[in-house]
Amino acid sequence: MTQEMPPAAAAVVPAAPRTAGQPSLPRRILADRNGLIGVVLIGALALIALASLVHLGQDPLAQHQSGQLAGPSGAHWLGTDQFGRDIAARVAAGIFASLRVALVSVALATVIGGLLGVLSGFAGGILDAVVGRLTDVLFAFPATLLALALVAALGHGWFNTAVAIAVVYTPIFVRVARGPVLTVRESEYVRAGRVLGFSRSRLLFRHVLPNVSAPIAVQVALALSWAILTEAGLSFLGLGTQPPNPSLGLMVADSRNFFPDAWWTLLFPALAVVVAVVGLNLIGDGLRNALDPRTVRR
Amino acid sequence: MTRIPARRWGVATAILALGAGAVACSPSPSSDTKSGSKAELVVARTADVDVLDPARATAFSTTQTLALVYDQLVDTDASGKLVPGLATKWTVAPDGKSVTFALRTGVKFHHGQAFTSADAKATLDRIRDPKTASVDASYLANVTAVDAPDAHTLKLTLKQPDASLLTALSYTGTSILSAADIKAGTVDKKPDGTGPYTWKTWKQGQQLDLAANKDYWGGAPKNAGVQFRVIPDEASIVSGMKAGSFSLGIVSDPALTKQLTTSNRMKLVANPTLDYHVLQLNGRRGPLKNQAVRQAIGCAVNRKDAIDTVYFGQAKQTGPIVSPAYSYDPLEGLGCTDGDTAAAKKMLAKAGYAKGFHLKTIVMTGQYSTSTNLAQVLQAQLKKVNITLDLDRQQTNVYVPNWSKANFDAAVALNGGSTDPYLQYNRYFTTDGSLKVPAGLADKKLDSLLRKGNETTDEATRKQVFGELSTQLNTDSPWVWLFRNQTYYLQANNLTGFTATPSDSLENLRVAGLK
Repeated sequence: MTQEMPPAAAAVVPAAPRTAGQPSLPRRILADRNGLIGVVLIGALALIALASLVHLGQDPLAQHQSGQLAGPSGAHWLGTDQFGRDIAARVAAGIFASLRVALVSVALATVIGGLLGVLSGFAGGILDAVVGRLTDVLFAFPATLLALALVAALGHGWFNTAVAIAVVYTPIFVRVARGPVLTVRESEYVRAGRVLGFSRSRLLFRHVLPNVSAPIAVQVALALSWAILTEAGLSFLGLGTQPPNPSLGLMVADSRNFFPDAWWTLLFPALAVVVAVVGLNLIGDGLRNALDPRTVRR
Repeated sequence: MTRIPARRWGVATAILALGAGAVACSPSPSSDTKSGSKAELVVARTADVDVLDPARATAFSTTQTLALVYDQLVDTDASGKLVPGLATKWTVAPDGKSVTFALRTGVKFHHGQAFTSADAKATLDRIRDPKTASVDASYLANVTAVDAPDAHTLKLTLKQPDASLLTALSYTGTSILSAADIKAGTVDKKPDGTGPYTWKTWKQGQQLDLAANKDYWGGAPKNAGVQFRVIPDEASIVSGMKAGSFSLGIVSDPALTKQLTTSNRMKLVANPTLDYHVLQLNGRRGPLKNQAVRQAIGCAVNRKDAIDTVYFGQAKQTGPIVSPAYSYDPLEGLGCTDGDTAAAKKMLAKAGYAKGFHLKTIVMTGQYSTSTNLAQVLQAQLKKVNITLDLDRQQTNVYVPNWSKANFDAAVALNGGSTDPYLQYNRYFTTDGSLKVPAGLADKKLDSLLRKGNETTDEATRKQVFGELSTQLNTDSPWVWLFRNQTYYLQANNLTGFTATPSDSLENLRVAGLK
């Protein structure tokens, strides 16, 4: 489960302002075939994760000594693992754990990276140079290697994992936010605002930021899928979620010794990772189409 | 001890995640084992050497390795019988209070200097010196003086007869060092012994190369040397064996053995060992100071279920004494049956801990693969009596110092066993034991029984005394004794001459070769 740094959504152009009579963004995403499939997939995973949160299924930590490595059945829909634990419950809890880490890490990266990118692009000068060089330094490290090093330094635990992933993805958001700001800050309505004496914060937060949010939104969807993969990868390597707590990556790692005889121990957690990543990427696809001015005009 | 470890790319990577479990590491082409009578043996194992000083070695991987570089005064044969090592013969005084060794002549250290009694004296004095902080000092607790009357005679004076002394002198911890190295302070820098292999190169955490000592007094090894590869993932060791990358692979996870039926490039040897799994309890902390609480933990643990879950039944329940020569009821003295949750709850309620408590539990990763699985099983079992094990998984180099300083409430440990109960426990439960801190508990009764058992060579007396020791250990419950497992040796089909031993020693590699 190694990966390279994901390409930033820099190709996405700033969105055209919504015009009267145009469908809302969620409707536009759902109108897109990819977006619709992505929403359905992620919606299903979110429901499963919520079910695990309110303990609708079995206890994911409960061991049943008499039912080790049992195949899918009425009692255990997706079978059991070496400890007789219910794989359905563990996959559901694993999805929750993955989504939690992904959401927190991407939220941190979006807020910090987006803010730094917008500020450095808008202000220019020394701030832009410093942020740019720091971003270059972070980009110099392979994403997974950097995340591994950070988790090793910070220690185990879901929040530390989320922080490590956030640090890895922050420079992407810096770049994604900064690029469009360079264009928008020179646009006529921003210049007009300056002439009218608007404060810098008003210009930044009311006129610039809303108009660079489209590529950031697309990047969020893409980053979420990469965050899920990274969390799974870290857990697979023993540095993310710690046993006995369920994690999709950890379940895949634990299944390696059993899958020739107990395929269900590998298939279902791996499938959950695939569905999550495909779903989020499809949402990103739908989001990009929905925000693309060329698509909107059509 | 623990001799004591974007988007489409995203889709593509996710699909790769599916296969991650199926694909293990590919072998390096340069690592292929070569046929020939003097080829180098490549041994794959999960852990690396952690220290270079035999007197401080606790990890299995370390003692296994240093035993190939150093010799001891006494050796053991395949059946465990004591045979001459660097001492060709020994004489015990009629009163049992001194032992005189005749040392082998013509033996040289790897750096070229001849071995003499001065080296043996310097080594044993160094182990006895508290400044050395040797984990093996307890083995020589009865030695009051070490004398070297001539270049090839060594005399040990004892304060009382010591039935286990000769066995202790066969351990890696009492390996004979060069007096010159001791004086120069280089013992922990570069191993320099009289053993069958010389220290060549060490890439820490990756690879260790030993070269055959052609001048070895016991006959040159039948191979050019031994290369140890550190492969942290046991599944990758199996894959490497299937690919023909290793001569010998050492694994502990029985789940892996199921995959071996598909390979015709190796054979599997399951070797029962004396090493034993325990849950060590720190009786100097919190609720664990209370004997009833410790006993309750011992009662709540279901050893049979643990064996079935973690080792698929391929392990044997054990009490405190692991030696096959001293067989006792493993739970005698505990006052309950295996997995007796009801009794445990009653004991905890009576002690005022019905609502339970948390225990900081350290778990070593790296040395053996089943540690985390065992910890999870124990955690689930103790949860039934409201005791929560907060698992803290630590690599060997973190775990060992924490374990040594007893920086834990509980420790999931795999400890080295012995055919002699005194040697198994004198480091832990004698009043001056070198591992009395991580033992977690001191009891004068245990000290007295250990010394009493070691004073006599009369087997009937020893059996009776060590039976009392076993019962007392269960009563004190400083640890929860669980089971002895098997070590799995994956032997390449072209590997000849290697036999596994109950002590997990690799000394037989000397007579192993590739056909």
